[in-house]
Amino acid sequence: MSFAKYIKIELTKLKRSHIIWILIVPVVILWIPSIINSHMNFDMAAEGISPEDNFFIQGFMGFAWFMMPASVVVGTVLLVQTERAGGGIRKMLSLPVRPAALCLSKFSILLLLTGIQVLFLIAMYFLSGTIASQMCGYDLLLDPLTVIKEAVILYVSSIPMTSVFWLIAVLIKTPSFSVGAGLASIVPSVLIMNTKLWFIYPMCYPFYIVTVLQGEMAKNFDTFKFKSLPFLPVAAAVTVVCILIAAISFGKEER
Amino acid sequence: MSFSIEAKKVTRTGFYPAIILGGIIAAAVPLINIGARPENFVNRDGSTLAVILNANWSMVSMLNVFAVILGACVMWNVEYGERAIEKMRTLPLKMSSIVGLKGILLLTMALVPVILEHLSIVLCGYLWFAPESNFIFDATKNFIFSILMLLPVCGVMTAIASVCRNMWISLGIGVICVFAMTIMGGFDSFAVKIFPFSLPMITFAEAGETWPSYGTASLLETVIISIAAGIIWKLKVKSE
Amino acid sequence: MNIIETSDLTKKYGDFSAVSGIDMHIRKGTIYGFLGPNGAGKSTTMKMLLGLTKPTGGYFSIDGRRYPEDRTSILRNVGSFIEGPAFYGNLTGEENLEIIRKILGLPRAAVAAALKTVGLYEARKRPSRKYSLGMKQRLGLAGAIIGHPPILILDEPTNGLDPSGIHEIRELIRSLPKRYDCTVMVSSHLLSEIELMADDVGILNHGKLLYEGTFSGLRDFAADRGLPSKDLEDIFLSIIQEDNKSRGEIDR
Repeated sequence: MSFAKYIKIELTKLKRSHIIWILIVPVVILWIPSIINSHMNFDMAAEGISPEDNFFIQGFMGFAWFMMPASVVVGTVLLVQTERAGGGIRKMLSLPVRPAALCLSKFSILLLLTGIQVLFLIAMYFLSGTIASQMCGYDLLLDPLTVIKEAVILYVSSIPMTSVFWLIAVLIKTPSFSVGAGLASIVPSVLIMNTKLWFIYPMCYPFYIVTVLQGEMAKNFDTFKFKSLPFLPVAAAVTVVCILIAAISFGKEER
Repeated sequence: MSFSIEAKKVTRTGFYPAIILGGIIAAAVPLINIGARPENFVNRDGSTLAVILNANWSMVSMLNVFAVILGACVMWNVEYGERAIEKMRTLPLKMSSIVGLKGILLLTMALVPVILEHLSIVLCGYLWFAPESNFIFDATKNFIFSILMLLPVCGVMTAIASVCRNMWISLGIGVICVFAMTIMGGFDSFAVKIFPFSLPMITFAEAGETWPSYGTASLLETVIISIAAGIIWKLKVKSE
Repeated sequence: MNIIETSDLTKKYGDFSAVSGIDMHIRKGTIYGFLGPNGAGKSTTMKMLLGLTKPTGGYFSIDGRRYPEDRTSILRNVGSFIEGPAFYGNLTGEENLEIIRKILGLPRAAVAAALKTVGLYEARKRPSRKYSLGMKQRLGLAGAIIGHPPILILDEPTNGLDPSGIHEIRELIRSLPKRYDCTVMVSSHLLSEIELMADDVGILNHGKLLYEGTFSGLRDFAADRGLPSKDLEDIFLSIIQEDNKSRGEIDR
């Protein structure tokens, strides 16, 4: 069976799960205060950031620090519970499927869900940016290419985090602990981000990346300078190791 | 009696250990945060309690809210998992009393992290600060206030999770509400601050002289939520 | 004396009638077999009797009690098993029954007695999630018979059991009225099974009660209509087919 088929099957399982609302609603909530407070983008001269940059970065920061990781945690619960509820996993594993491929396809779904949410984020950015621009009589929208580029970077930076959450969900069968671990790991990311060892904590990558971008946009605002070493190799290693362990352990209990 | 039944139902689900563990982690936050760099904190303006809370309470209270969300999800996941709730409905019980007792159980368990956190705050005070004479008294006041502030979120999460067959939906709604709270945090208005998910973030010192307003808001919200939950369940039972 | 009576009991979902105007009479101290093909409305009827779903028409009484006024006292006196077992997967069989026992205010010994009656006593300390299908079914039954309620409503209680298990549970149900002076309403889609257990039978098809009465009465009923009247299974099938034909369905 081809991998595409696996993905197709996984997508079918998401029917009537209402997960799409859990992805869309926070993105809508995110931009509402940005529209209401759009006049505040003009008070940021001290930081040396332009109003349009500020409008963009505030929204993306709000998304990256909490909602992005939290959505992934909710996604893992969705994937795990749909299999367990009706004993679906038993059925799946009794069919000629490769557990590792099944695991990988579920991980891909998780990535897809985040991807969908980022797409909504961009769409809502343009929508709310247009409204705010009308309100302020000033063009608050950035060049679409820049926006898409930053969104892609944000998305890619979330992949290691997603793989960690997925590994937790695969290894820890008790939802209390897997979900608890997921939620609890989000909170200290702000603290850890400020330490030298931030790169070993994938849950803070998306927020870190956006904060770096904020530093680049705000001339008088001193935050982090992005260094690709040792971040990139560590992030890649974390991702690969998590996916591998998850694939090996997937469905062990049922098999 | 019935309370002990609700308490029994969640055994072996990780409900108790997860909340206790969450409490230990939350209690560790001020110890690690201040312990790692006490020089950053000891000379700050304000009372010992205020300095400790300002540096940690937003994180700690967020963990508390997460514990409440998770606890509510797990309590109801058990009911829906193997259709246990359908058996419950064939017994001479009122659904509203199950919902109410679960809310009380959740609040009772939420006390554990709050107690641990306040012990940790007091410990921080004595380890790295020179606490004022009223430090313990103020910490106690903050402790009681924190519990009061947790009432609505316990109620609202119990109510939400009670009507969600699927755990990811109640969890999703819970985290979206927390998210909305973090986003709205920028608005300095009473109406935003008394949102059930925002109340636990407020400290007694921050409430200051307006603490009775927050207390009243919290109690009022809890009453409204309880009534709403009762009505929702009545309608739900009727519609089936 | 009838302990359960329904009058024109109806349940509609939109324009679909799950149960349409049935008049049922269940005699005290008997076993009433509720027979019908899958989807005939058996579960819906039983759920209405338990107040799990609201009738859209008609009414019923259980031991002189009415719903919704007497809901609690109805539920206190009716042990039920509806649409398969329902339990807390994280708890053991014993703990699950313990919860029911406390809610019903029964003596401690009731749990062990129920477990023994259904043959689950040995497995009482195991998490019920790990039970086999048959064991889950037995647990569900134990939850119905615990405390010997005067009325039992059992929805396809032998589903998922092996032949010896079916035999065992059937014998158990058969013995209940004498042992505990109770009335049993038991549903099935197999006439052969109902025949071995029940005193009276009610045949339901597409939400309509086609026949109600004794088995000998059923033979006469069939003979009167020129249907085969020797073998009970044939009688059942031909009654259902005749009804289906009359509603313009293709005879399969």
